[in-house]
Amino acid sequence: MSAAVLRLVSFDLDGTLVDTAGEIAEAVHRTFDDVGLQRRPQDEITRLIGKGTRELLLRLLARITAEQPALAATLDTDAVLHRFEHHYAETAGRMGQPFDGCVATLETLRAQGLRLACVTNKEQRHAERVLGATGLAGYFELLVGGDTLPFKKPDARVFAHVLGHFGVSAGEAVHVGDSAIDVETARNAGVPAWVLPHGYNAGVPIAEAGPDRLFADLPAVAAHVSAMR
Amino acid sequence: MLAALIWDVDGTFAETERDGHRIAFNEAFEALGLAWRWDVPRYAELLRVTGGRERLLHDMASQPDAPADPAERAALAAALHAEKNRRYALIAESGRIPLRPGVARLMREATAAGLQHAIATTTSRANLEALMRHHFGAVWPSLFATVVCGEDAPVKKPDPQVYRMALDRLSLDPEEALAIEDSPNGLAAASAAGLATLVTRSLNFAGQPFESALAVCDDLDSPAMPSSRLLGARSARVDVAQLGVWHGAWWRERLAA
Repeated sequence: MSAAVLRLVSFDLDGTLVDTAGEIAEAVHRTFDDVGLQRRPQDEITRLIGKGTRELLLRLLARITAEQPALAATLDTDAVLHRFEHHYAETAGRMGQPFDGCVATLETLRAQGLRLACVTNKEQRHAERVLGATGLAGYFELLVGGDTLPFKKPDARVFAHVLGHFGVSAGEAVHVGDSAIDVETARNAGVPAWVLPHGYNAGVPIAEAGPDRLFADLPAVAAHVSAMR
Repeated sequence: MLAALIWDVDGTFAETERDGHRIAFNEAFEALGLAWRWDVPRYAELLRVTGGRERLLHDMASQPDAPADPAERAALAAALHAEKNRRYALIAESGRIPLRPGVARLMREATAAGLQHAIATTTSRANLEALMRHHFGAVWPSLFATVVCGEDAPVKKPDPQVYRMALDRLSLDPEEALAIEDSPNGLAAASAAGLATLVTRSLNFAGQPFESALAVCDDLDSPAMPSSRLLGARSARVDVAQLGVWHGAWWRERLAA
């Protein structure tokens, strides 16, 4: 892809822009405390990041009831999801920090006239909170959360919506993420898949997902784009 | 492809109602020996009636000392309106009506980006001249590809006549232009003409929802909230590039629907 045609850079959120594993886990811990469930290891929670918090909780609860079938009768899924809403509203963006060089990277890209989108499977309302609390909100003209559209990553229609919004073609865009979901999203959209190693890929090294480019950190992404132009 | 911005004037280009017309109406009442005075809240109510003469007649219905005879009423309204316009011109020419925030900036950006500007206003040519001459000088008409005033389009907003005329003179289809408005009547007129419309809230219509607008802002230098129809689109400052993105997304969505 030639430098002249890059017009849009799309970023995943969790594990790409912001280190959110801790605050997600803390919200889960507080929720489980509320409903009398034993806390799960942070590592287990981190491996479930990528499909939205609702999906994360449902899978955790599925595991718990598989381990302790007796709980299935008493476990109120809706109550757990409801409590999580409350706790995540308190932790989202408050504990997680943007990865090193995140703001400078976004500044550099914006300064070069690139349009920026945030495409995440985190629910839109939670993503807004994280972007707002970390000071990143102003950089993104488009925020597509897991529940913004009737479908989520890696469905090809998500990126089709993003390209359609900006009126750019696949050849003029790139998606930056931290997981196999992001690589698959990029593939389905026909855009280059750029990845970072500091995120959450279900415990699997991101190189194994076969990205087009693997950058050491966010500033490296900005440097590469600058060099392209 | 966005090719032109079509500007409303009153409340959009400048707060002409608050800073100009209202003052002029009150000066006209005084000049004709009437004790009527329109304060800001009363004027805000009366603004729901489009057109100066219509507004005067509407108010007269509640004034006990207004002429009973309809013909006399009409004559008085005409006289007051003429006096009002004379005084408005003086107020505008003396620079007491500033352009609203961001108007000059967006005009410059749009021109630099190759867009044309047009005016679609209910107000009279004379009123428009007075305001424009002060801000842009005698060459002001050269800044606009077309100017449609009250005399050109006698049917007032929310009727789309003034916008249809502007598009016709510009030789553009609705999807090639963007209207900029401040009032529910204006948004309705532009929408009925098929135009995507940016709303800059003016003093008198600040609380309105403007649901069918492309985006809504308090003024052009404040963040604008794009329509919820543009899924995922977020609040942003209005510049010509941002308008281009939203406008493009708005029309692509229409075609896909």
